[in-house]
Formats: sequence, C-alpha cells, structure tokens
Amino acid sequence: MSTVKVTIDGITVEVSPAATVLEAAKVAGVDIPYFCYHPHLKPAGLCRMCLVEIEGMPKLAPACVTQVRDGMVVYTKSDKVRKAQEGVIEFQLLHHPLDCPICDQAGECALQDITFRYGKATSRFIEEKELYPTKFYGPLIVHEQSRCILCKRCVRFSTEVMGGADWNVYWRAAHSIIGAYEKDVVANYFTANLVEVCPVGAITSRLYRYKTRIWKLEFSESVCPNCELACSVDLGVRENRLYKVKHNNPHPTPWMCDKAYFAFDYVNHSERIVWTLKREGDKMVSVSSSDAVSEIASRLSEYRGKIGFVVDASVSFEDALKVRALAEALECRDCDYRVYGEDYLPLEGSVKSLSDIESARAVAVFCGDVGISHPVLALSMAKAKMAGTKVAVVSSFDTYLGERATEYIVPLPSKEADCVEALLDGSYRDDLGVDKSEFERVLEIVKEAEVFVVGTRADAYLRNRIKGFAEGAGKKVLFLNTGSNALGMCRAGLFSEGVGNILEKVKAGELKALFVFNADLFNTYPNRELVKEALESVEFMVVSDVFFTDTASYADFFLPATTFAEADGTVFDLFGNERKRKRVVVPTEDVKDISAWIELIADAGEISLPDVQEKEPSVAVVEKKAEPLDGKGLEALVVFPFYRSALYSNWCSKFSEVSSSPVVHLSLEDASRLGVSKGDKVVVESSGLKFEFEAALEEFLPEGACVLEAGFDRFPVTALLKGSWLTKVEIKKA
Amino acid sequence: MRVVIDRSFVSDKTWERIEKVMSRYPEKRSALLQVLHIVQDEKGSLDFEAIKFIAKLFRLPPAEVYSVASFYTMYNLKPVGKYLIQVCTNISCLINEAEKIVEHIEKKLGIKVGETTPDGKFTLITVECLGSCGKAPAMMINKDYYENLTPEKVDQILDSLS
Amino acid sequence: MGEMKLLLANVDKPDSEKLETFRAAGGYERLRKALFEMKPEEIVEEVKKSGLRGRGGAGFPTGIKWGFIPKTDEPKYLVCNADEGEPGTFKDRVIIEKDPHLLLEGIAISAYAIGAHEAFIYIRGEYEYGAQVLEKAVEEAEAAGIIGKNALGSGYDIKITVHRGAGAYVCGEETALLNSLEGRRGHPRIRPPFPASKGLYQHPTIINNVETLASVPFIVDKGGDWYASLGTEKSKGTKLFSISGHVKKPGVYELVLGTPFEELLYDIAGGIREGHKLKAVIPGGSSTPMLRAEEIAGVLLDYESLQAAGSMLGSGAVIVMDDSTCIVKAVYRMAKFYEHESCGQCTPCREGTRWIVQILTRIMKGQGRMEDLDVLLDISEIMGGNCLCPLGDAALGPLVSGIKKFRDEFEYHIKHGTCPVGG
Repeated sequence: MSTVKVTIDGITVEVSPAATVLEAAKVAGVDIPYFCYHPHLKPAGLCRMCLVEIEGMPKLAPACVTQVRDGMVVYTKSDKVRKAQEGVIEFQLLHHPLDCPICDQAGECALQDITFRYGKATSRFIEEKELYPTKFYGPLIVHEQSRCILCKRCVRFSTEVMGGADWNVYWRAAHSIIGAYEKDVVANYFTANLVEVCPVGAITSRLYRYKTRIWKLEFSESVCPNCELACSVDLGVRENRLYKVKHNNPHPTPWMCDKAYFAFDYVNHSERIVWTLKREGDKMVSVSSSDAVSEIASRLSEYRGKIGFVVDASVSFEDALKVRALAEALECRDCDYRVYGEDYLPLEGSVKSLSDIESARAVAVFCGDVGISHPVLALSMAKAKMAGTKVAVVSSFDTYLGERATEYIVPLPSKEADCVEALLDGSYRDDLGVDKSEFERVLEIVKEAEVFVVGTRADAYLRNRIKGFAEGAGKKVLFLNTGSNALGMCRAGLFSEGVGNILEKVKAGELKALFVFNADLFNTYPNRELVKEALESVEFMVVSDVFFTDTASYADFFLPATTFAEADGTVFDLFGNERKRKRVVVPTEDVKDISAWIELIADAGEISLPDVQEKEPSVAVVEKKAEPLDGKGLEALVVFPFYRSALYSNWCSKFSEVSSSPVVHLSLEDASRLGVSKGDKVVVESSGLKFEFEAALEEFLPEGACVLEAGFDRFPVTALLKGSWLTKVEIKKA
Repeated sequence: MRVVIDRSFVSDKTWERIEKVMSRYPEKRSALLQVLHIVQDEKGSLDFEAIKFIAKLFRLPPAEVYSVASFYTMYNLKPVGKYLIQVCTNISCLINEAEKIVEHIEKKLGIKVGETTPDGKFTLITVECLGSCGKAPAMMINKDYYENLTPEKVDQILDSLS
Repeated sequence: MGEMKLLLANVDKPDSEKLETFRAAGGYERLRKALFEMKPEEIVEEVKKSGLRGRGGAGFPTGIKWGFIPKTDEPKYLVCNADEGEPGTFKDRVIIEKDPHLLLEGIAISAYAIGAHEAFIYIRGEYEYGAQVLEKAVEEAEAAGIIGKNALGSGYDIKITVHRGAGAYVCGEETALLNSLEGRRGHPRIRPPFPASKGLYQHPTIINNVETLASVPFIVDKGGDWYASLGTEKSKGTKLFSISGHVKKPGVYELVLGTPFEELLYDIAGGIREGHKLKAVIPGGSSTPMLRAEEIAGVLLDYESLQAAGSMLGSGAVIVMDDSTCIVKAVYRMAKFYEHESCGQCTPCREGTRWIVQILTRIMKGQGRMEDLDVLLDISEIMGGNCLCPLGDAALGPLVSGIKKFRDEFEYHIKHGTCPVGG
C-alpha cells in the first residue's frame, strides 16, 4: 500500500492516505488534544479541541476529520492554534461546575488533563453558571448534566454501536441535554460503555461512586469470566481489593458489557466464606484446612470408583485438568461441567473471529438470547446489521438482538427447533405456528447467510443437524455454549453423560460421594427435585465455592474457593483461542484455587495424580429430539435475565438490583385473557408449586408462550422444571 | 417480529395521511418530521404516548424520536392552549414595536409569555422570524398568519376566536 | 438597472397560483423545451454561461455547483431549499405562495439537468400555507402529466415531494437540511464529503434556493447569454430584495443586480418614515454586517459592491433602521436569535452564542462593564472560522459590526445604564 508524507510540527511521518491528521500526529508522537474523538466511534468533529493549522488552508482544521494529503504541513502549536485551544477550553469550562474534588472522573478526566496542559489559568466569565440536578438512572449510573461537555460520545455509542437505545440528546443549542427519555432506570446490557466513553465525569458508575481515586489503583490485564467472549479487562486493585474493571485492550471488541463492568464486586463481598468448614450434625464449623484435607483424603479411599465430580464451566482449564486427574486417580469416570443440564458438548465451528461475522452478507442466529449469553457478540451483530449485514434471529425469546435484527421470528418454545429445521429444509409448515410471510423472509436470509450462530438453547440433536447442513451448504457456523470455559472443560475431558446422569446415579446409589466445584446446582440445574434427592442421598460431599450456597448446605466439607481475580488460569474463548486470567488479588485465609485444594488432598491421601492430557470429545453424545410437552396451561420457558446471569449475580449489589424481582413475560393475548396488566402480580403454578411473579407484556411473544425469570435468591423456580428449561404452567392474577 | 400498532390511537383520516406520507420517500425515516406534524395536528401536542406510537411506526427507540422532535421548535412536547399565539420578536418586528404587541397580549389575557390561560384557550409564546418582515409586526395563531399588527387589531383578532 | 419583473411577473395576477394562469403565460413551455430540445449537459452549460449565483445567501455559481455531480449511475437528488429563515428575508415566500408552478418548473428542469428523478422541496414549517399551495400545485402538475412519471411525455420521470421543516433556522444550512430531510436532528454535517458527492441518503445531491431554481426557466427560455447581459460584470441577472424595517413601502422587489442601494431605499421602497433619519441598514439578512447610514452612499446592490463596503449581499434582505433604533437592543435581539438557533453540536458556537447573550443581557440591564466589549470581540475571534458550520460566523455579523460601528452607543449603555435613544 502506498503511503503519504505528512509533516507535523517539523516531524515528517509516512502514513496511509486514508489517515486523518490526528492519526498521523499519533504516529509522529505529537499530542493533539481532543474530547469528542474516540478511536472506535465515527469521527464527529464537534468539540473543536483538535483544531490545527495546515499550510495552504485559510481556516484551522479539525484534525480528527481532516484527511492527510501528501506533503501536508501541519502546525499544532502555532499562536493561532493556541488561541483556539485556549478558547475552546474556556468555553467548555464556562458552565462546568469545577467540582473535581468530589468527581469520580478526577484523575482520568480529559477536561481536567487538557485544561492543565493547554488551558489558561484565568477565566473572564462572571455570569451565572447554568447547572442541572444530578440524575440517578437506576442502580448502575449517575448522570451529571452540569459536567457534560456535549461531545456526544455516549449518544454516538448508543446509536452507532448499539443500533439505537434509550440514551440520546434532547433539545438543542446550549440547552441540549443528554439522558434517557421517560425512563428512570438505564440498564441496557451495555450501559458500562456510556461511563467508559464519557471523557468527563458526566456519566459515572454507581458501583465505583465515591470509593477511591483512579491513581490509587493498580491495573493488570486479565479476562472477564462471564462468557465465552473472554473479553480483555483491566482489573484495578488497591490494597488487595478489586475496585474497578476497565477495558483498555480492545479485544475482542472495543466494548464491554455490564457483566464485566458491574458484576465483580462479589469478589470483595462480606458474605464470602474464607474459612474451611466441616459438617458437625446440623452445623458447619470451622476447621483447619490441613485437618480438612486429611479427612477428605481418607474418606475418598472408601469411595474409589463411586465419586461424581461436578464443575462449573467458568473454572480454568488447569483446574479442570486437575479435577480430571483426581477423578482418574480415584478410578472415577463421572465428571461433568454441564451444570445447566445441557445435553451438548462444544462443537468446533468454522468461525474463527468476530470479523467473519461482521463481514458476512447475512447471518442467521438460532435458538438463544445472545444478548444475554454472549453480550458482546450480539452487539457486534447489531453493529454489522447497521453496516448492511442482514441478520435473521429465530428464537422463542430474545431480549436484545431480535428487535435490532433485519428479521426476528418468534416461535413457541416447543416449536423453536422445528422452526429451525423447517428453515434448513427450506419449506414452511403450518404446524410451526409462525407467520408464513415472515418465515419466507427469514428463509431468504438463512439461504443467503454466510454464517450461522447457534445459541445456547439449541440441543445436541439440532446442533448436529445444523452442522451437517452448514457443511453441505458451505456456510460457517459458530456454536455458543453456556459458561465461560466450556471449550476448556471439554478439552480437559471433564465430561461424561451429563450432570443429570451423575445426579441420577447419586440418587440411585451408584455413586456415593460427590465433589461440586463452584456450582450451586439448586440454582443452575433445571430439576430441583432431582438435585435435592441426590444431595439428600449422597453419603459424602465436598463443595468448594466462593459463597455458602444452597448446594453447600448439604456438604460435609466446604473448601473456600478463589474467584477469577485471585488465580492465574487459562480459558478458551468461543473461537478456541487461549486466554489468560491473572491473579490480581491475593487470596486471604484458607481461600485456594481448585488445583491447590486437589493437590493438598492428594498429598494428604498419598494419591498420585496422573499427568492427564487434553482429550478430544470421545463420548457419544446422546442425541434425541426433545419430548413433546405435556400438561395444561402456557408453555413456560425459564431464563436467567441479564442482570441475574453473571457469576455470583446475587452477590453483585448494583448489578443484581437492576433485576430486583422475578418477572413473567406474557403475550398480549394471554395477558388480556387473564386480565393482567404490566406490573401486576401473578401466580405461576405447576404440579402444586406456586410462585409469584411480576407481569411484563411482550408484544412479540406468541399466544400460549410465557417466559419466567430465574436466578433470584430464595426463589427456587427450577423446582418447576423436570430436566428441561421448558415446562407448562398455569397463570392467574394474584 | 410482531409489532402491534394501535391504529385507533389516531383517527382514520390521520392514519390515511400517515400512510400516504410514509410511502412518499425512498427511505421511510424521512417521513418522521411529517408524521410528527400530522399527529400533532390531531392531538395538539406530542406526549409520551404519541411519541411511543410514532416510534413504533418507524421502528425507532422512543428516545430517538423525542431527540428529533425536541430539536425543532414547532412540536409541542407539552400541552398548549386551543390557540397557540406565536408573536415574532425578531429584528424587523422588534423595530416595529413587537414588544408592545407582546405586552398588550400579556395584559389582555392575564398571562406571561410561555403561559396558558387557566381556561386552556390561549398559550402565548414568542418566536423567531416568521418571514413576515415586510408586514411587521406579525404573529401566527395556530397555523394562520396575522400581520401589520396594532394593539387594536390584536384585540379584534383575539375577540373573534371562540 | 432598477426594477425588472422576471420572477415576479405573474405574482400580481388573479389566481396566480393556478396551473391555468401559469400556462396561459407560457408556463411549462421552458420545461418542454428542456426535455425535448436540450440535453442535460446543455442546460448545465447555459446555466454556467448565465452567471447565475445561489440566491440563498452564499452566492456560489449554480452551474459550477451542478457540475460537481458525478457521472455515475447511482440515484441523484435535487433539493429545493425553501427554509427561508434568515431574519429579514421573505422573498421566497412570494414565489411559493403566488407562483408555485414557476418553482416546480425550475425544479423539474434542474432535476433533468443534473440527472435526478426525485426532488424535494424543504419548506420551513411555519410556511404551512405555502406548503399547501405547493402540494396542490404538485398534484395539479402531476394530474396534467407535466411532472411525475414520463413528464410531458418525454420519458423522463420527475417526482417532487414537499417536505415541511419544523422550526429550526439551521436547517437552511444545506447539510443540516439533508439530515432533517432524512428524519434526523438538523445537525450540519462535516464537509467533505460535500452533498454533490454524498448528500441525501449518501447519494449525490444538489441543494438550491427557491429563487435560484425559479430563475432557471428564464435561462432555458432566453439563453445564458441573455441572462448574463443583465447586471454587472460578476453579478448577473435579477435578484429579489426583501426590504423591511423603517421604510414607507416595505416588501419584495425584483431588481437587476447592480441597482444603487439608494434607489431601492429612497425610490422603490419610499424612503424612511416621516420625521426620522436613517441610522443603519443590514443589507443581506441578519447575519450580514450592518452599515452606518453614510456607508451606503454610492453602494450598488450586487455581490462585489456590498463586499467592498464591508458587508454582503446575502439573501437580499435589507433591514432598515432609523434613528429610533437602539443598536444595542437590536444586536442583543439578533444574538438571542443565534443562541436559540445554534444546533448545539460544536463547542464555539454553542458556548460562544450563549456567553454573548449573557454579557449583552447584563449590558441591557445596565450592569455592563467597559471590558465586556473587548471580551465580546475576543469571543468573536475565538468563534470566527472555528465552528463546524457557518452559523457561528453568522452570529458574529451583527455583533462585531454593531460594536465596531456603534461603540459609542454600547459605551453609553455601560456608563449610564440606560439607552441614548430610549430603546
């Protein structure tokens, strides 16, 4: 590629002819100040802070939007430029409250930094400042219009990246204000980015509010533990406490979701159990970790060959290998990570990076709610759609991508897989219960699609069907899994015939002992009755976790576990890339990672751990089409809402406050038949169990379908389920 | 994705106007300003319900529609009286004593600029140049122009409105 | 020189807005000539020869602007800028309300010339009556087969849509107008790219003022050379002047460019009202620098003469102020206008216009300080040329000329806390 030569303040650099003056200046090492420019948003040229003088041009030019020309000569420190810079800073400060001492942005504030470097020490402004009241937009963010410099980065993020959201600019001129419209809570899965793109303290995080100072934090790069995107995060620690998560390395995208940004405070939670506990009758008492591991080791010898191992898919690859080593050493085969009852293992897809999706002409997304399971992937697809990619979503319930897609077809949950199959077959069927013309439009996109994205609700049967079809049709596929390290679990060989199978074996007495790592099965497994029966009948159980969960209350020993911030470890992202977690907080007291506990147990029991290797999935996956639903009432899909879907959500104060009470989503028809309005309390009943939900009305839901939210503390909705996340329920107005 | 639009939110005539204007442009969104006008013609002002209704027609977030609507001064985002009196006070009217006209109306109706009479009949605002500079001072009441105003003429005009 | 009625030839006729009136006077024959006897590039050539310059205020040569349209297959659009909002300007309203078909004919010819099949008339929201007149005219012309599919049987399609704005002066700026026409906030766009390459829906677009487009039929009819024979060396043809303020006969007059300012003021518009003397004029709409009474002597109404006199022809809106006018108040009122109409995107315009108003408000209240005048001039230096669109510069016209030419009056306000003329 040819380059052009540009001279900036006497420094000549060669850059791409498509570069802007601002980009060229970065290459030359010349600092040009700016407010509204953001490397990952379209340049806007609004703030006028980056004005520079260019030879041959009568007026100053904004460096962020001015393209370079060969031989261009640029001055960034001439008198004319200085006067404009001082002027823009003076203008920005006219009505700024200068409340830096109580502003959380202080120390990383562009206005503060640029004023120091480029501003005048004095102001000629003697008029009244026009100030606005502070606005709290729910638990996540605070908005201070008075501090806003109207760079519109937040609005540009909302429109350019999110494809339209509840955040915008209103009115005009000096009275322009930013905010939500007719909404008291702003929590749109990507709220974090509003805070992060704001160059001043106009939008700040309530989680970080008045907690510490940015310059007191030491940042280290790690990866977010919440999904398979494994986004880069920078963890800010002060005095061994995690205060802030930032996103300095734009991998895999420049953006982060609210799980990464707002759902980490469980690491510092006061309810964390940091001591080793042992059951004594009805009570758990603290014991020394060495006594505990000795006792565990001696009990294990009793159960050789009869121990089940259940591990949450968020643990590291190294830990997973260690669990398998222990299992092999004890001649046990029953180990599995699929704590949400999935019947599928990760299938290797052919999509190798997000750019495969972003550059596709068309994409079809099946069976899931990608905005919740893989938020940043949904964001990328919404962005691609705006850039011209056609996106079709086939999902019984989608809360983000559907409304932003080119087409979004919503079958009844029981028909979701059938609908996908019919699309693969290329023919409409009356029994699908979806609109024919809509189906045809989706079909066109499915045919044109270069990429299929298969969501977490698709079962093993459907996955293989899609894989076969896509291979035949020369399309790429991306299979999504629940948990942030399903690929790592699978590589570590940590799978057998599913967690359900282990629980059944425990219940039947075939397995006598159980290890559960970082999973609260009462919350995750879609059959609470089975979990309860299994845990009641197990003879010996060790639970290692961060909090004392319902599952832990059945344990004979509780081993305090590390969080993602307290242990180094490897995970594999959805494309199969290796990603490294970093220990940034030193574990306190007895807290140890799984590998350390297992090694201690092995040492204590003189168990020699084999050197296990990665293994390819070799267990035949049982593929069967889902059983037809029976029972009366509405089809009910049980889902974790976004703000209850992060690791340890219930211990994330601000994050979980967004979803403060469980909601049932109803179709307009059913709501009208039941006489239910938005916000009403309704009773959801099935096989004698009753739960009270708050009603929400969704016009896109078909009649006969409802969606129940799970993941709430002391609200065991999984009791309604019998192994699948879909059931039938009766609903009444409370 | 099913989008349920409640056509009964507007009259049949308004709905017809909306459909006509929305089919007139190469890109649907271009009709947004016109649809805002049309709905306001029927409702008098654009409240949250109206904005939501329009947002749905265009498949835009309500915040986006409100962002657009609030940029322009002619959309009444708060209720106004039956008669919206808009007096031009810009330069050509100013030097032809528009301020006296404003004062006269304030006194006559017992309200200040920006206010509505308690019976909901009149709202008084001042506006920028109406393009009646040759017949200054001028005002609009709802959509009608009144020019070469004098206090006496204003009395006649206001008295004639029921 | 003096008055000459081309554009205003029909406006005083009864039922002037009707199709039959227009046709009786030879209307749409120029369109027929264009469609059947001329190639698009020939029309562009005639317009170039005519020397016609944009009548909205900027004065850019129309034929040259049309020449920027790329010769590609993508859709092209013509937009008629009828967002007449510059205070003091009311000339386009006359054509819109009284001779809408002349405008439609001009649009249709121009659309053909640039290869556009779709044209929009962006009319300011307040001109609802004008919009109705235009819509009716479009319906009449479509029904008569003059425009629409297969215009006049030529095989060329020309669809014209009337689009109402909704109260935003800045939409007169062509890229803000495009955003508004796309259903967005009226924010001016960064240039480049220019509308001729990426305009409406990112396609090549020409935006011309009402008066500009209404002049095109005459150029097609009588030729570019004929049109260029009117006026001065660089200011060709006729121009509409809106004259308002303290004259006896305010109104819209069509003059050959180069007519003496004093002829318009004293002969055509009847002179200053009885008992008063001329104090100042704003010659081209509120954004053009004002001239003191003595400065207009010998000045001609054309682009170059007014520039030489330190102001601009602008939109041809002449605002006449006699000795009863308080210049401080007039400047304050115009400053309020620009503050109100700033789109708020870029810092200098948004913050500068507000600060200017805050300072002038204080001076008007009798709480001014002498140094305020220098601060105001310095604010104008920071704003000048540094804003995203021309609105910021427009705001400075009355302010800077007001302070520079009537500094004594500002100082009086500051010293005495009152107005010397009782304004």
